[in-house]
Amino acid sequence: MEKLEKSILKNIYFIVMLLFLILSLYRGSFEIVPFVYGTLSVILIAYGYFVIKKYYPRVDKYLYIISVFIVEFGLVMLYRLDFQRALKQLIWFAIGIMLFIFILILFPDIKRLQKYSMFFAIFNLVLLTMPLLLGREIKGSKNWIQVGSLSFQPSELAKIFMIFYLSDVIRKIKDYKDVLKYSIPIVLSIAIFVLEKDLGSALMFFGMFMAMLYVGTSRLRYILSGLVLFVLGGFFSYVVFDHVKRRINIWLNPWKDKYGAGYQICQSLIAIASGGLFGTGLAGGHPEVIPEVHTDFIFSAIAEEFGLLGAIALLILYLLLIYRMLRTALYAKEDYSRLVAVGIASMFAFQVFVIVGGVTKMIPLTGITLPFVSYGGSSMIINFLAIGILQKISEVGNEDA
Amino acid sequence: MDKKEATRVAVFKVIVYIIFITLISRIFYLQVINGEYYRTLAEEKGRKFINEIAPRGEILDRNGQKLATNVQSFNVTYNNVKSKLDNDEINKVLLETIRLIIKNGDEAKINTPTFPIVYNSGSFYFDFGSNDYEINKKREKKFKELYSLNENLDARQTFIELGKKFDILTSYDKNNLNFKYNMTLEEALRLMAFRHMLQESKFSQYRAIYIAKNVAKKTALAIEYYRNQLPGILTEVAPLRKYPNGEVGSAFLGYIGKIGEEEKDYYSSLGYDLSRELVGKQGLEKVLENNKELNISLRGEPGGIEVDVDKFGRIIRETARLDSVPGDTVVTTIDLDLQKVTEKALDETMKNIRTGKIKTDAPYPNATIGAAVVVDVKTGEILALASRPGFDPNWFAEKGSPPKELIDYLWPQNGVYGITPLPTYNYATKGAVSPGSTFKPLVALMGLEEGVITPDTIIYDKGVYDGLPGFNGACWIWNEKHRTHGPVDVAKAIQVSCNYFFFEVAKRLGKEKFYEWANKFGLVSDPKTGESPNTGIEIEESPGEVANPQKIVKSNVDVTLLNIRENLKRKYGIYINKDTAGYKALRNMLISGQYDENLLDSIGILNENAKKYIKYEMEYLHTDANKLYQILNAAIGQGYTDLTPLQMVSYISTLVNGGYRYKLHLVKKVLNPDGTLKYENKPELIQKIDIDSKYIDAIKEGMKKVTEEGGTASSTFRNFPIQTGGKTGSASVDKYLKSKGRAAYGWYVGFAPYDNPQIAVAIVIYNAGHGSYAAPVAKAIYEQYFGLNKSTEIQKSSTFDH
Repeated sequence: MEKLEKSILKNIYFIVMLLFLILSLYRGSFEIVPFVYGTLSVILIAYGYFVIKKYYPRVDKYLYIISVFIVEFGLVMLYRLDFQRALKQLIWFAIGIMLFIFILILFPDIKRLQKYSMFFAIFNLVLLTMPLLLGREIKGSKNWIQVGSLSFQPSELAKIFMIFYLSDVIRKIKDYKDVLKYSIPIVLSIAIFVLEKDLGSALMFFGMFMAMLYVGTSRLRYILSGLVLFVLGGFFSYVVFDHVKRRINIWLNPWKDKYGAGYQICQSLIAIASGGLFGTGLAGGHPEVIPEVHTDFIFSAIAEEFGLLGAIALLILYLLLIYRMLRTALYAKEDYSRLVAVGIASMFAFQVFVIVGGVTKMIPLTGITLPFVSYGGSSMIINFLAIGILQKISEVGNEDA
Repeated sequence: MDKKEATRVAVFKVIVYIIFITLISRIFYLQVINGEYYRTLAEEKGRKFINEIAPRGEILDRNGQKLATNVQSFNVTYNNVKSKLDNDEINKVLLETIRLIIKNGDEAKINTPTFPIVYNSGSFYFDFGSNDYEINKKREKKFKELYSLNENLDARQTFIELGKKFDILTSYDKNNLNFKYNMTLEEALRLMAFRHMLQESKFSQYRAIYIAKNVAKKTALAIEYYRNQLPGILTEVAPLRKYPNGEVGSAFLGYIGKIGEEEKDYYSSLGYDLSRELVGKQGLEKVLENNKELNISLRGEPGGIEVDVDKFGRIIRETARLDSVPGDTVVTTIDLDLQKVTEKALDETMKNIRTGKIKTDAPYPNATIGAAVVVDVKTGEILALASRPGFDPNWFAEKGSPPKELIDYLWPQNGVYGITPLPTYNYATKGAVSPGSTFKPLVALMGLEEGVITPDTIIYDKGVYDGLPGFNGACWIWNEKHRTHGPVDVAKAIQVSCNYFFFEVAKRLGKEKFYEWANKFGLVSDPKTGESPNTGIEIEESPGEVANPQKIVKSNVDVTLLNIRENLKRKYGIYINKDTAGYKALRNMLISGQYDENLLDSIGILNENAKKYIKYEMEYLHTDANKLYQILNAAIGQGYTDLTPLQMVSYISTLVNGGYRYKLHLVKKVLNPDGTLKYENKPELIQKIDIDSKYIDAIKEGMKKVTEEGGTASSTFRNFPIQTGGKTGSASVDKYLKSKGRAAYGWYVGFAPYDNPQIAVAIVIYNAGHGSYAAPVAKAIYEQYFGLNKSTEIQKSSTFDH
């Protein structure tokens, strides 16, 4: 087992160093900085693995391995796009790994969080309303708050809180009335997201809720009613909110205003298409013409430069990650932890779906981050928090495996 | 392990697979199946539209002479064709261009983008362009938010942070700043300002920013030569606004300027290029910028070129061109030659008063401000409108803001009100001051029309007026020489400007009739709607009003309020701070005259005596404003009456043309760009006032006598070849103002010719001492209008020939 892990890691190191070597050389002469940067990132990974293996040999190390590989994808791409941001991202990566280790060491058994579900619900709402009161609008969404010079996106943390809340209450659901009762915080959260113009998070919350509701209750009726309500709500917001209408119209025909509102999505489509099967090669394309390419549109940049093969590889990595998460769910000791694992797995699944679907114009574009890849501290930290929690669950689950 | 739950997790797993398969299919479709289609779209990625500003509509005088036109100029622009460039690339291009322009000797032509960080004598500070602290704070916050900077950074720290952001700093410490590319601090600031401008126009990335305007052809060619090394830099031939007559007509032409912070939303909604287009800021340039009401647009329709750019942002070829449509040509009612004469005469007359070349009863060194308006009495067309000193609109036309060294002149900071001239302030349309005796002909008309006097009524001037107890106004001749005019009829009263006569007429008229007539001539707010009076002119005006109770209350309320606050503080220990809600409520109550005890309670005035005292002060304020003596003062154009030269000329014109109050206007015709007529502005009657022609004759007679032997303007019009009518006015100022160097406003209103009036004039010179000193301006205007100076010139030259 350990041998396999090690050989996978070695391969990852090799690929990563190869990529950074390309970045060192592509300008014609050898530049040391990308190489150093790549080396640092690899050392970080190795360090994290070392700690896990040494102190927590029973946990599912693949969760960690797959995650950091995905992170490397992002670091390479960010380095190529914007060195300043890449530097910051490396720091966030380091903080993420530290957090991950801390969770392993300090976090209590997950099931002990069960009794705090009301706290999670309330705090979730408090977090989400914060930007409305003291937040500021960035890129058309009012879903940020600022503390000092740090901007922070509360919706990232809120996702985790919501998962803890739902994991507890879903098991108590007996009939429709319960569904209604327990879904109040969720409905409120979604409404806040729509007000904050953060439609991506609204979509994700809904998806996660449905997934957990299904796994937790197995009542297809609930899911169907939920979908019907969602369609009605969506239609209502389309009519009432201009920003929703605008998003939908851009989605339906971005070319109509390709230098205006549709600019981002058109550039994204052009970038993805110009990648073709094998891509333009790292640093060979022009993804920098896409606005916000370092966050929401980083997948387009990857698809352009790594081509279809690279894009599929990244998606398969996500799939593997989600598979490992669901495996953790299956092996979980008790229902609460299992639902937490399912929740986190669905969080990743829907997040990837919403953003990759968005930048490829499969669904209307809503700005959310691509987990582990997009530039941004809040996202990176929360993702590692999530992986840490799953790791914790897997530790308990593997106890008698 | 619950088996059912395991199944559900498995089902969910399947859903996840489906999701990922869908995503992969979509990417496969985009990249492989339909990739070719999108790749052809990508070829178009490099097609950009660069807009071209339309030539601004010309402004002509009534005879087709140019007042404002356009000339060709070379501009250097930076076209942000690539949405993202690395710092190094932009910085190099901008800096090299700037250096190239300076090398060619065109440093003065480099654009100065609005940038809030200023460096002066060793230190950095912020300048957000407003005098209002709150507004500056708001702008500072917005500025820092744009760059996600900490709100507490000072100017230098902000500069350093931006330097890092734009990557122009190599190192810095407490004392030193070192920049890339061997830049000096000045260069770095300039570069940063341009980067800021780019940042601000980020969301309109198909628009260009100006690097320099109106550069020499040599500079433009030099830049063209290096174009391939300067991706994004373009030279363009563009129209530049030009005012061929310099300062002449600045009062009504106004000027153009950069779109201000507070106008940005408005103009961007109209599709303006905020970073490049200049818009009218004053005068005709402003009101005709985009006038929906008159359907006039000086701006025109911008055009542009579509170009292909390579992936480095260099322009490969032009693919399409959309010609811009020039703005409308506006033919004004102004007569350029008359305008020139009017301005020159005003300047010279003011100088003559100041230097004593005109014999004055005392020195008047502060006759520094003057205004004059000439109208065609039969149409309401404004033939000349001057406010002196003025400015040269060309100062603004190049960059949208005047050169630094002129700012103190254009907008003096610490001047004395009424002495230090404000060149950008239009004294003809906005300077409402007491008209003095020039108001008397109107009172005469009121008296005649209402039958309180006839043309033959004789009133004995007894010096001090004794018809109203408590009122002790006197005739000027009594005040100055302790003499009286004796028996006077209306014509004589106008001729000698007898105050006594007009006190009596006003008293006989009473308040109601007095205001009714003032309203007919549009000189008070509409009693029904409360709308302030206006002459109809297209450009901005701030009309004054004939004294009326509302106006007097409003003029006095602040003094009353000051007294109230003092007394409340002293006697009752109640403090009412200025600009609080309570203060404003109290002020509104005093103005309304409606005593409101609840309101006093709510702002903390509970003491009964204090309340009584306030009630007393309020009642006094209103009683006094409603007293009869107020219209006696108003009848001689003193007290609370103030009117602009434009309003005065409107009244004179209406009086002498038989009661036709025309809309005063500046726009005669509008022509399409091809020269065809788009719109003709016909004379428009605001009101026809029924006036008996024999009364008009009596007044005109009096006004004629003013210009004849024994009249107040006789010295100016002695031997004048045509008969004219006029009236002087000397509106005195109070002692306090006199101590500051102020003196009476010198007014002259008049019309010509006497028999069949064609034009009316109104002239005011501040601190002139006496109205008769302003009369030479009117004389110069008549000479020009009736071609008298030409004939004398011809006579002279013919004499010379003989």
